[in-house]
Amino acid sequence: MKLSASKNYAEALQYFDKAINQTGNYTDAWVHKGDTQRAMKDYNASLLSYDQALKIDKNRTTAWSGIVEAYTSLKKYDKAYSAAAKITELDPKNKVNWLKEGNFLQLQGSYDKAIPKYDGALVLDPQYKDALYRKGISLLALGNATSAIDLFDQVIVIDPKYKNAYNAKGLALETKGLYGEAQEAYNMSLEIDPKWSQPLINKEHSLLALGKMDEAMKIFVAI
Amino acid sequence: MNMKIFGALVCLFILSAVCAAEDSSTYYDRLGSKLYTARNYTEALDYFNKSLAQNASNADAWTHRGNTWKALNKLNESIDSYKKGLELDDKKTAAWSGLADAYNSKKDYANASNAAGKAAESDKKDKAARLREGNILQLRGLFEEAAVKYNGALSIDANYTDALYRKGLSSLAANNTTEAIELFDSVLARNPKHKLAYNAKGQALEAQGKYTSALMAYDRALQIDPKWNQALVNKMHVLMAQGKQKEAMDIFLTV
Repeated sequence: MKLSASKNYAEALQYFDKAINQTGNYTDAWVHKGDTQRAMKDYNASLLSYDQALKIDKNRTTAWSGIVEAYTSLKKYDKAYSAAAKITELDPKNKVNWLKEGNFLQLQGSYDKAIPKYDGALVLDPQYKDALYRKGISLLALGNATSAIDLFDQVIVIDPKYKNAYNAKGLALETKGLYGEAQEAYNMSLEIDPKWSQPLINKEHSLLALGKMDEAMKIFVAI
Repeated sequence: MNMKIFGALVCLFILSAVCAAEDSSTYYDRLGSKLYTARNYTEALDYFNKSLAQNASNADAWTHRGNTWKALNKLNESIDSYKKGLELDDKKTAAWSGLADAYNSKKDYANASNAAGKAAESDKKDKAARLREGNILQLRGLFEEAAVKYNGALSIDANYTDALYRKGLSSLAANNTTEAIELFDSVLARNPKHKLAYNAKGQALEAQGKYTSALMAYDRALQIDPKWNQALVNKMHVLMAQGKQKEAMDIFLTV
């Protein structure tokens, strides 16, 4: 563990193997081995180690978490989602687990299925801004811009520095043809993070839609 | 007679000492340039300093020293160095160009414009100098004035794709989307891998409300560079304009 923490992964692996050889049922050693392999970007090997840990203890959430991270790195979001769902099942009182499940569903394009997951998180904490924001994204994807704006506004009330909410609100306003208001939302996002390119490009598009070509091109050449 | 011979010997000695200093200054400057090319900037700087210690009138060494400071992102030092070189020879195009780039990096566009203008003036056949002048004007929001500079570059080389592209951006800023598209197309006819031209063409088509064609242009840019954030966000906006919210959000989550 100490070697892994100090990023001496190769040597750490040797010690985890020694621990496993001495005590075959040492679940933590398998999990730590998996974590180390993951740190070394050997994701497939890490998955095998986590599997070994789960053979000993199928409810070990640390192993399931490792699997989630490994599959995320491999961009296999369907499998990451299945592992995340297992964690929620084992620990349903943790709002983060619900959020993660929802996020994996969004990454697979299942925006409607993601909503109940965010609702699950919001039952535990109605002020959970990340869940409110992500639920807003789902609603926007499903064509419900008005409800999405309501949610982004809620996020902004909870945290006025939540730049992503302003940016997403701008997109929602744009879909309603409210380009001036969208521009204001992007400006708010840029006040928080002036170097964030996405709201800058978004702002350029709202200017383009308003026919303000000169202003739009000023942004375009500066990006 | 003896005095005359002595005088001549002294002159010869002084002359040879000056020549030796010049030779070693050129030698160190050359070594510094090699290190600069190999991106060993810290060591290159040592050699340019040695070169200037031997001969402080070596304008090239001042310019090369300026380039090196610029590469090290020490813009003030870089600007000082170029200015020293230009005090010795104000016709050095490379020094003016370097100075323009350094001011540009500092976002001091007024001084950058001035230096870029001097660079273009000192070499009337340098198309890149005209392009630089135009680009700085565009950064100042002076799209119309920039177009004149691009025309200057194109009069030197009618196939200069960078000037054609930038002129297209000026046309777009002037809301002349048709001319802009023609210019972007002429860039693409000369270089089908010019991702910037596809992206800008997408913008022009979007401004015309031709979303399907804009989408195709962005897709072409993304074929060349699939991870290009700007083209991805642009594509997202076109999808939104087409009412394809789900597809747009698929992109949103990945950028």
